[in-house]
Amino acid sequence: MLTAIGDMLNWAATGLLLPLLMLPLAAFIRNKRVAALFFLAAIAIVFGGASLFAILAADLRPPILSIGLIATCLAGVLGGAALIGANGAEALTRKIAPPIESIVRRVGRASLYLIIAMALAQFAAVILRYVFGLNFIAVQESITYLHGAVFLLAGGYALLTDDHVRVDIFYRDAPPRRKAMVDLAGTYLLMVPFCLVTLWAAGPYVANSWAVREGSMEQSGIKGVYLLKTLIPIYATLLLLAGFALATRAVETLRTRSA
Amino acid sequence: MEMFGANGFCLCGVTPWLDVAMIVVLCLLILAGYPVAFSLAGTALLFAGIGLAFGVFDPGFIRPLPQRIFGAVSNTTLIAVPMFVLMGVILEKARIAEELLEEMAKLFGSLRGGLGLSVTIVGALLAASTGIVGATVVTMGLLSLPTMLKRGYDPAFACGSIAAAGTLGQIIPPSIVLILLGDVISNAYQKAQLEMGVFAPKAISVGDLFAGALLPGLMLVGLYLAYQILVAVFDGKKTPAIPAEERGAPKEMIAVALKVLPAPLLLIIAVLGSILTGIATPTEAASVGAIGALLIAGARLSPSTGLFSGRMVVYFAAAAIVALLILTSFVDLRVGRVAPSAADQAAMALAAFLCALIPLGVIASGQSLVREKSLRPIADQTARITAMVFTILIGAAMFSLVFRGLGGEETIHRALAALPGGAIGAIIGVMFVMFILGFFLDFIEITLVVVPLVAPALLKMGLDPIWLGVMMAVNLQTSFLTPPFGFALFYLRGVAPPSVKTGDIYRGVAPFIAIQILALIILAANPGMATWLPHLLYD
Repeated sequence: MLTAIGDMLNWAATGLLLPLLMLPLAAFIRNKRVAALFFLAAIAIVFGGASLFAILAADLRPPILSIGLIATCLAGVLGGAALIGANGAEALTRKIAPPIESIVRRVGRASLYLIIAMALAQFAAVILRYVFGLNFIAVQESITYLHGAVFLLAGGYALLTDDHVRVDIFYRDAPPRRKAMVDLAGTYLLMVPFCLVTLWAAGPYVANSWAVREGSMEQSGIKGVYLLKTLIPIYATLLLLAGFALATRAVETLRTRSA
Repeated sequence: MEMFGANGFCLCGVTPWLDVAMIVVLCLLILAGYPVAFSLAGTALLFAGIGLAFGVFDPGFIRPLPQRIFGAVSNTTLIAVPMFVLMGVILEKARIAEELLEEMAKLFGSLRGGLGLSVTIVGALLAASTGIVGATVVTMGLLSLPTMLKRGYDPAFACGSIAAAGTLGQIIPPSIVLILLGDVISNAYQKAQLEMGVFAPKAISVGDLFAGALLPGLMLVGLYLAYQILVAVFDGKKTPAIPAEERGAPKEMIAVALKVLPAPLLLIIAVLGSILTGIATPTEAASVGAIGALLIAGARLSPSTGLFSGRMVVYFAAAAIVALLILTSFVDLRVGRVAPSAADQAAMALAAFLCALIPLGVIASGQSLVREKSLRPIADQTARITAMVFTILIGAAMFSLVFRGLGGEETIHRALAALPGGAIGAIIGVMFVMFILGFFLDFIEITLVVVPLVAPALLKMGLDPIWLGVMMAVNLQTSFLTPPFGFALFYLRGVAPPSVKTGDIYRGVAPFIAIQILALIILAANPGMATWLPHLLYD
């Protein structure tokens, strides 16, 4: 049951995120109606390709053909198309990019406090262990939780701040247009597939963990392993949102520089 | 390898080469400049898709990806990475590293070649904290290069010294890459032993690798210093001393040096010492390092007046930690024993009181960092570097899963076995490939992508895992120094004034590359150099 819900959530996330990711591409097209059509076609192709992949990779679970789910996704896609038709893709992108970017930044900045907390907790554990001979499994485990939360929550943020290392032998001195092209192509061809596959593979993994409310192996450990594992799809989602912001910037660069 | 897929069509002759093609395509894609972590994962998926279409890839290989990600979360050794990053960032942002360099330069500046020596020594010390090539090279390039040029140092010599000292961060423990390398090598070692039919495999730890890298690292420092002294003695024009009138009174200098140097030095020695002697795990030691760095920064930044002002509280906290250490080594403070004696109980009460002092100092330090508006940037940078490292780890996991699914491991085994000269030929081949890869990839990526692929095969040939790890580390360090693509040179070029020609940088590093190669030869001829200390400490 929970596995099915996990799948549904996955596909709902995909159903929402994919149209979002298609927006910056549609923003290349000035004609509102053509942009809307392009948007629909792109979604169809990506959904088709993704479904094909999911069917070939039977292990990653083919989509659940629930009518409600399909209806929701369809409504989202058609609604998106209608909005594009009315406002133009560029205006729409410009409207939603800042709030999305600020979500990713806020979540990433939450991890700043977790880092400090992690260092303090680890230090406290050291003092307790080496001076007083006390071991609290819960303290030890809380450090693991904090550690996981830090890098899983800050992954998307680091993409926005351009902290993920690049091999910049050629990139560094490239003109802004070429940089934008690399960012755009890389986001769609390299990063988005990775995030989607992570989402899909994590679905059943996390759902199984929820199903048994997976806790610590230790008696006095923290009973929240299922929550910790839930951070994995959240990580992929945040990366996708950051990817949207990155693509939007790249498209803007390409548009203004070419005009 | 399956030539005819169950649900694909045959393109015989192409599909067996997918694993090789995957690496070639990765190298090309990575040069475009998109973040490496995603290039790794994206290339892997591209080839997974091709493999699926041709029916030579089982998608089940991708399935363990969430487990791999969770493995990075739950691996307690890897928690040392954010802790050491935090320690390094605090030392950098609180300008402790800068001060160290300045004072050291004043101290040695009166000697011919003294500035060069101080760069090497500070590089070795900073190495112990950050371990990221770029950070150290940039810091020292910005701080020392202008001074050295102003004092009339030969630009080539100055650049060579700085670039070489900057790469020491890779090899001198506790560096972040050594933590990752230790984790990877230990997994590879387990795997190699299992495949050889050893079902009670010996384990190696990050501590082993730290201990193994210590002597070779110090040897490199020694060789650098020896070269610099030789230049100062025989070619003094390149390395003039600071004239006496600019140096200030020696007494003052020593007083300042005594104020600035001991704290960071003690911290580094304590962190490294507790790991090497096996008292603490790298993660635990790293947290002590981070909190220690916080206290040092707090002591520097707090106002000094008044008994209960920031600085005194910080001193109290530091004193409390030292007192706790002394107390716990003489008295058994463990709570929960049966009937501790009255004296022990009194000592426990004292220890509890001392413990209460520590949070006060930590809070005071935190406050002064907040006042300086540097706590937030510190945490921010730490979070971003941590996310970067672990995202590469995840991307590399995806890459290796698909690579394995396409039969890449077999290919590598066969290729290594086909090299002439057995184990020696194989290791020379691997070292050469890693050297070339070092031009394009950072140490972290090579550690996480290449080492897991080649290390099991090499270890099966009977090579010592610690020695192998140290050899790889020194080899990569050399690669980062080698023109025209060495990473350290790029970073230095980025911060060097335009008057310094790129040719100067290349000429300057040449002797240091020779030193590196000499060190590699010494290490290859005497594996004991890497294995002696770990065996002494842990066996």
